[in-house]
Amino acid sequence: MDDGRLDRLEQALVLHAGGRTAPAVPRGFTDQVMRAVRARAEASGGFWALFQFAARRFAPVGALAATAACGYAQLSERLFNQALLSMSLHGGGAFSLARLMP
Amino acid sequence: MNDAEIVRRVLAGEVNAFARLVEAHAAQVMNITARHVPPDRAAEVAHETFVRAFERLGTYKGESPFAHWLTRIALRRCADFWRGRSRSRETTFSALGDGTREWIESIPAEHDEGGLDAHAQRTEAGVILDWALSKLAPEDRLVLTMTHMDGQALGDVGELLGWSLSKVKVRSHRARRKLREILGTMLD
Repeated sequence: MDDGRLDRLEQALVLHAGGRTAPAVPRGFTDQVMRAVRARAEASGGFWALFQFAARRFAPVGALAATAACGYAQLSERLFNQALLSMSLHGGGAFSLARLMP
Repeated sequence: MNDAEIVRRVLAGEVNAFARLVEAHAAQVMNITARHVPPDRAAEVAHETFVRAFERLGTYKGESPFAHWLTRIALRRCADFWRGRSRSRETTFSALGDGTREWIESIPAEHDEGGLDAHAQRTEAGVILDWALSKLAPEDRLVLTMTHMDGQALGDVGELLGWSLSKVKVRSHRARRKLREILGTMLD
Protein backbone atom coordinates (compact mmCIF):
# COMPACT_ATOMS: atom_id res chain seq x y z
CA MET A 1 0.00 0.00 0.00
CA ASP A 2 1.20 3.51 -0.87
CA ASP A 3 1.36 5.38 2.48
CA GLY A 4 1.56 8.77 0.75
CA ARG A 5 -1.66 8.06 -1.11
CA LEU A 6 -3.31 6.86 2.08
CA ASP A 7 -2.21 10.06 3.83
CA ARG A 8 -3.72 12.22 1.09
CA LEU A 9 -6.96 10.23 1.15
CA GLU A 10 -7.19 10.67 4.90
CA GLN A 11 -6.33 14.35 4.61
CA ALA A 12 -9.05 14.88 1.98
CA LEU A 13 -11.64 13.23 4.21
CA VAL A 14 -10.58 15.30 7.22
CA LEU A 15 -10.83 18.45 5.08
CA HIS A 16 -14.29 17.40 3.97
CA ALA A 17 -15.39 16.77 7.56
CA GLY A 18 -14.07 20.19 8.59
CA GLY A 19 -16.04 21.88 5.83
CA ARG A 20 -19.35 20.33 6.76
CA THR A 21 -21.88 22.83 8.05
CA ALA A 22 -24.68 21.97 10.44
CA PRO A 23 -28.16 22.14 8.97
CA ALA A 24 -30.44 24.82 10.36
CA VAL A 25 -32.85 23.96 13.13
CA PRO A 26 -36.04 22.79 11.38
CA ARG A 27 -39.13 24.98 11.56
CA GLY A 28 -41.42 23.94 14.41
CA PHE A 29 -38.62 22.00 16.14
CA THR A 30 -39.40 23.40 19.59
CA ASP A 31 -43.13 22.67 19.20
CA GLN A 32 -42.41 19.06 18.24
CA VAL A 33 -40.09 18.59 21.19
CA MET A 34 -42.62 20.17 23.55
CA ARG A 35 -45.40 17.88 22.29
CA ALA A 36 -43.24 14.85 23.08
CA VAL A 37 -42.19 16.33 26.42
CA ARG A 38 -45.78 17.07 27.48
CA ALA A 39 -46.81 13.55 26.50
CA ARG A 40 -44.01 12.15 28.70
CA ALA A 41 -44.94 14.46 31.55
CA GLU A 42 -48.60 13.40 31.37
CA ALA A 43 -47.74 9.71 31.11
CA SER A 44 -45.33 10.00 34.01
CA GLY A 45 -47.80 12.07 36.07
CA GLY A 46 -50.58 9.58 35.35
CA PHE A 47 -48.45 6.68 36.50
CA TRP A 48 -47.49 8.36 39.79
CA ALA A 49 -51.06 9.48 40.43
CA LEU A 50 -52.25 5.90 39.98
CA PHE A 51 -49.38 4.60 42.09
CA GLN A 52 -50.15 7.03 44.93
CA PHE A 53 -53.86 6.19 44.79
CA ALA A 54 -53.15 2.46 44.88
CA ALA A 55 -50.63 2.91 47.70
CA ARG A 56 -53.05 4.95 49.81
CA ARG A 57 -56.01 2.69 49.09
CA PHE A 58 -54.40 -0.72 49.38
CA ALA A 59 -51.31 -0.28 51.56
CA PRO A 60 -53.07 -1.01 54.93
CA VAL A 61 -54.88 -4.04 53.50
CA GLY A 62 -51.69 -5.21 51.80
CA ALA A 63 -49.66 -4.86 54.99
CA LEU A 64 -52.22 -6.85 56.96
CA ALA A 65 -52.42 -9.55 54.28
CA ALA A 66 -48.61 -9.81 54.10
CA THR A 67 -48.35 -10.06 57.91
CA ALA A 68 -51.02 -12.75 58.01
CA ALA A 69 -49.40 -14.71 55.19
CA CYS A 70 -45.96 -14.56 56.82
CA GLY A 71 -47.40 -15.54 60.19
CA TYR A 72 -49.27 -18.46 58.72
CA ALA A 73 -46.15 -19.63 56.87
CA GLN A 74 -44.04 -19.41 60.03
CA LEU A 75 -46.61 -21.28 62.10
CA SER A 76 -47.06 -23.96 59.43
CA GLU A 77 -43.32 -24.47 59.17
CA ARG A 78 -42.99 -24.89 62.94
CA LEU A 79 -45.89 -27.32 63.08
CA PHE A 80 -44.55 -29.27 60.13
CA ASN A 81 -41.08 -29.52 61.66
CA GLN A 82 -42.46 -30.65 65.00
CA ALA A 83 -44.77 -33.19 63.37
CA LEU A 84 -41.97 -34.49 61.16
CA LEU A 85 -39.72 -34.93 64.19
CA SER A 86 -42.45 -36.72 66.15
CA MET A 87 -43.34 -39.00 63.28
CA SER A 88 -39.75 -39.84 62.50
CA LEU A 89 -39.37 -40.90 66.14
CA HIS A 90 -42.30 -43.24 65.59
CA GLY A 91 -41.15 -44.59 62.25
CA GLY A 92 -43.25 -42.31 60.01
CA GLY A 93 -41.95 -40.39 56.98
CA ALA A 94 -42.51 -37.15 55.18
CA PHE A 95 -44.89 -38.80 52.71
CA SER A 96 -47.38 -39.91 55.36
CA LEU A 97 -47.03 -36.54 57.11
CA ALA A 98 -47.76 -34.62 53.89
CA ARG A 99 -51.15 -36.32 53.66
CA LEU A 100 -52.00 -35.14 57.16
CA MET A 101 -51.11 -31.50 56.52
CA PRO A 102 -53.90 -28.99 55.80
CA MET B 1 -33.54 33.90 33.74
CA ASN B 2 -30.59 31.50 33.56
CA ASP B 3 -30.69 27.81 32.62
CA ALA B 4 -30.48 26.57 36.22
CA GLU B 5 -33.48 28.68 37.17
CA ILE B 6 -35.48 27.32 34.21
CA VAL B 7 -34.54 23.77 35.21
CA ARG B 8 -35.81 24.42 38.74
CA ARG B 9 -39.11 25.69 37.35
CA VAL B 10 -39.54 22.68 35.08
CA LEU B 11 -38.83 20.33 37.96
CA ALA B 12 -41.37 22.20 40.05
CA GLY B 13 -44.01 21.25 37.48
CA GLU B 14 -43.87 24.14 35.02
CA VAL B 15 -43.31 21.88 32.00
CA ASN B 16 -43.79 24.66 29.42
CA ALA B 17 -40.68 26.43 30.71
CA PHE B 18 -38.66 23.64 29.08
CA ALA B 19 -39.40 25.29 25.71
CA ARG B 20 -36.99 28.10 26.69
CA LEU B 21 -34.18 25.59 27.08
CA VAL B 22 -35.02 24.04 23.72
CA GLU B 23 -35.05 27.45 22.01
CA ALA B 24 -31.75 28.42 23.62
CA HIS B 25 -29.84 25.23 22.87
CA ALA B 26 -31.43 23.79 19.70
CA ALA B 27 -28.78 25.20 17.35
CA GLN B 28 -25.93 23.95 19.55
CA VAL B 29 -27.43 20.44 19.79
CA MET B 30 -28.09 20.36 16.04
CA ASN B 31 -24.49 21.36 15.48
CA ILE B 32 -23.31 18.39 17.56
CA THR B 33 -25.67 15.80 16.10
CA ALA B 34 -24.91 16.92 12.53
CA ARG B 35 -21.21 16.23 13.19
CA HIS B 36 -21.84 12.71 14.39
CA VAL B 37 -24.84 11.31 12.50
CA PRO B 38 -25.91 11.68 8.84
CA PRO B 39 -27.18 15.25 8.25
CA ASP B 40 -30.68 14.08 7.32
CA ARG B 41 -31.00 12.37 10.74
CA ALA B 42 -29.47 15.18 12.81
CA ALA B 43 -32.83 16.80 13.68
CA GLU B 44 -34.28 13.44 14.76
CA VAL B 45 -31.35 12.75 17.11
CA ALA B 46 -31.50 16.35 18.41
CA HIS B 47 -35.20 15.82 19.15
CA GLU B 48 -34.40 12.61 21.06
CA THR B 49 -31.67 14.48 22.93
CA PHE B 50 -34.11 17.06 24.29
CA VAL B 51 -36.72 14.46 25.22
CA ARG B 52 -34.05 12.46 27.03
CA ALA B 53 -32.80 15.61 28.74
CA PHE B 54 -36.32 16.29 29.99
CA GLU B 55 -36.60 12.75 31.35
CA ARG B 56 -33.24 13.06 33.13
CA LEU B 57 -33.62 16.68 34.21
CA GLY B 58 -33.73 15.63 37.86
CA THR B 59 -30.12 14.44 37.59
CA TYR B 60 -28.84 17.90 36.54
CA LYS B 61 -27.18 19.27 39.67
CA GLY B 62 -26.15 22.64 38.27
CA GLU B 63 -22.47 22.01 39.01
CA SER B 64 -21.51 22.42 35.35
CA PRO B 65 -23.15 24.61 32.70
CA PHE B 66 -26.41 23.20 31.34
CA ALA B 67 -24.93 23.28 27.82
CA HIS B 68 -22.18 20.81 28.87
CA TRP B 69 -24.70 18.48 30.47
CA LEU B 70 -26.84 18.63 27.33
CA THR B 71 -23.81 18.03 25.10
CA ARG B 72 -23.03 14.81 26.97
CA ILE B 73 -26.59 13.60 26.42
CA ALA B 74 -26.40 14.53 22.72
CA LEU B 75 -23.14 12.60 22.30
CA ARG B 76 -24.61 9.53 24.00
CA ARG B 77 -27.66 9.76 21.70
CA CYS B 78 -25.32 9.87 18.68
CA ALA B 79 -23.49 6.76 19.90
CA ASP B 80 -26.85 5.03 20.45
CA PHE B 81 -27.85 5.97 16.90
CA TRP B 82 -24.86 4.06 15.52
CA ARG B 83 -25.42 1.12 17.86
CA GLY B 84 -28.91 0.81 16.41
CA ARG B 85 -27.51 0.85 12.90
CA SER B 86 -24.71 -1.66 13.38
CA ARG B 87 -25.99 -3.69 10.43
CA SER B 88 -25.13 -0.88 8.06
CA ARG B 89 -21.48 -1.67 8.72
CA GLU B 90 -21.91 -4.64 6.45
CA THR B 91 -22.31 -2.42 3.38
CA THR B 92 -19.44 -3.12 1.01
CA PHE B 93 -17.34 -0.40 -0.53
CA SER B 94 -18.29 -1.54 -4.03
CA ALA B 95 -21.95 -0.87 -3.17
CA LEU B 96 -21.17 2.84 -2.91
CA GLY B 97 -20.96 3.13 -6.69
CA ASP B 98 -18.41 3.91 -9.37
CA GLY B 99 -18.26 7.61 -8.49
CA THR B 100 -16.52 6.95 -5.21
CA ARG B 101 -13.97 4.64 -6.85
CA GLU B 102 -13.22 7.32 -9.44
CA TRP B 103 -12.89 9.93 -6.69
CA ILE B 104 -10.26 7.82 -4.94
CA GLU B 105 -8.40 7.20 -8.18
CA SER B 106 -8.29 10.90 -8.93
CA ILE B 107 -6.89 12.10 -5.60
CA PRO B 108 -4.25 14.71 -6.53
CA ALA B 109 -0.58 13.94 -6.20
CA GLU B 110 1.57 15.28 -3.36
CA HIS B 111 2.45 19.02 -3.21
CA ASP B 112 -0.94 19.94 -4.64
CA GLU B 113 -2.73 21.20 -1.55
CA GLY B 114 -5.10 23.44 -3.51
CA GLY B 115 -6.18 20.51 -5.67
CA LEU B 116 -6.71 18.35 -2.60
CA ASP B 117 -8.86 21.03 -1.00
CA ALA B 118 -11.12 21.26 -4.04
CA HIS B 119 -11.23 17.49 -4.25
CA ALA B 120 -12.31 17.25 -0.62
CA GLN B 121 -15.36 19.43 -1.24
CA ARG B 122 -16.94 16.89 -3.59
CA THR B 123 -19.93 14.81 -2.50
CA GLU B 124 -18.06 11.54 -2.95
CA ALA B 125 -15.72 12.51 -0.11
CA GLY B 126 -18.71 12.69 2.24
CA VAL B 127 -20.03 9.32 1.06
CA ILE B 128 -16.65 7.65 1.63
CA LEU B 129 -16.16 9.41 4.97
CA ASP B 130 -19.56 8.27 6.26
CA TRP B 131 -18.97 4.75 4.98
CA ALA B 132 -15.52 4.47 6.58
CA LEU B 133 -16.73 5.91 9.89
CA SER B 134 -19.71 3.56 9.92
CA LYS B 135 -17.21 0.67 10.04
CA LEU B 136 -15.95 1.86 13.42
CA ALA B 137 -17.44 1.13 16.83
CA PRO B 138 -19.73 3.98 18.01
CA GLU B 139 -17.28 5.21 20.68
CA ASP B 140 -14.34 5.07 18.26
CA ARG B 141 -16.33 7.04 15.75
CA LEU B 142 -17.28 9.60 18.37
CA VAL B 143 -13.80 10.17 19.73
CA LEU B 144 -12.20 10.22 16.27
CA THR B 145 -14.67 12.81 14.98
CA MET B 146 -14.12 15.02 18.02
CA THR B 147 -10.33 14.81 18.18
CA HIS B 148 -9.20 14.23 14.62
CA MET B 149 -11.93 15.81 12.48
CA ASP B 150 -13.09 18.68 14.72
CA GLY B 151 -9.72 19.23 16.40
CA GLN B 152 -11.16 19.49 19.91
CA ALA B 153 -8.72 19.45 22.82
CA LEU B 154 -8.23 16.00 24.35
CA GLY B 155 -9.08 17.32 27.82
CA ASP B 156 -12.38 18.75 26.59
CA VAL B 157 -13.24 15.48 24.84
CA GLY B 158 -12.46 13.54 28.00
CA GLU B 159 -14.71 15.81 30.04
CA LEU B 160 -17.60 15.52 27.59
CA LEU B 161 -17.33 11.76 27.24
CA GLY B 162 -16.59 11.16 30.90
CA TRP B 163 -13.26 9.55 30.04
CA SER B 164 -9.77 10.02 31.47
CA LEU B 165 -7.21 11.86 29.35
CA SER B 166 -5.20 8.68 28.80
CA LYS B 167 -8.31 6.82 27.66
CA VAL B 168 -9.10 9.55 25.15
CA LYS B 169 -5.53 9.38 23.83
CA VAL B 170 -5.56 5.60 23.51
CA ARG B 171 -9.03 5.34 21.96
CA SER B 172 -8.37 8.21 19.59
CA HIS B 173 -5.09 6.72 18.43
CA ARG B 174 -6.62 3.27 18.05
CA ALA B 175 -9.64 4.64 16.17
CA ARG B 176 -7.42 6.53 13.75
CA ARG B 177 -5.37 3.40 13.11
CA LYS B 178 -8.58 1.48 12.39
CA LEU B 179 -9.79 4.20 10.04
CA ARG B 180 -6.50 4.08 8.14
CA GLU B 181 -6.79 0.31 7.88
CA ILE B 182 -10.28 0.70 6.41
CA LEU B 183 -9.11 3.38 4.00
CA GLY B 184 -6.13 1.19 3.11
CA THR B 185 -8.45 -1.61 1.96
CA MET B 186 -10.03 0.83 -0.49
CA LEU B 187 -6.65 1.60 -2.03
CA ASP B 188 -5.63 -2.05 -2.40
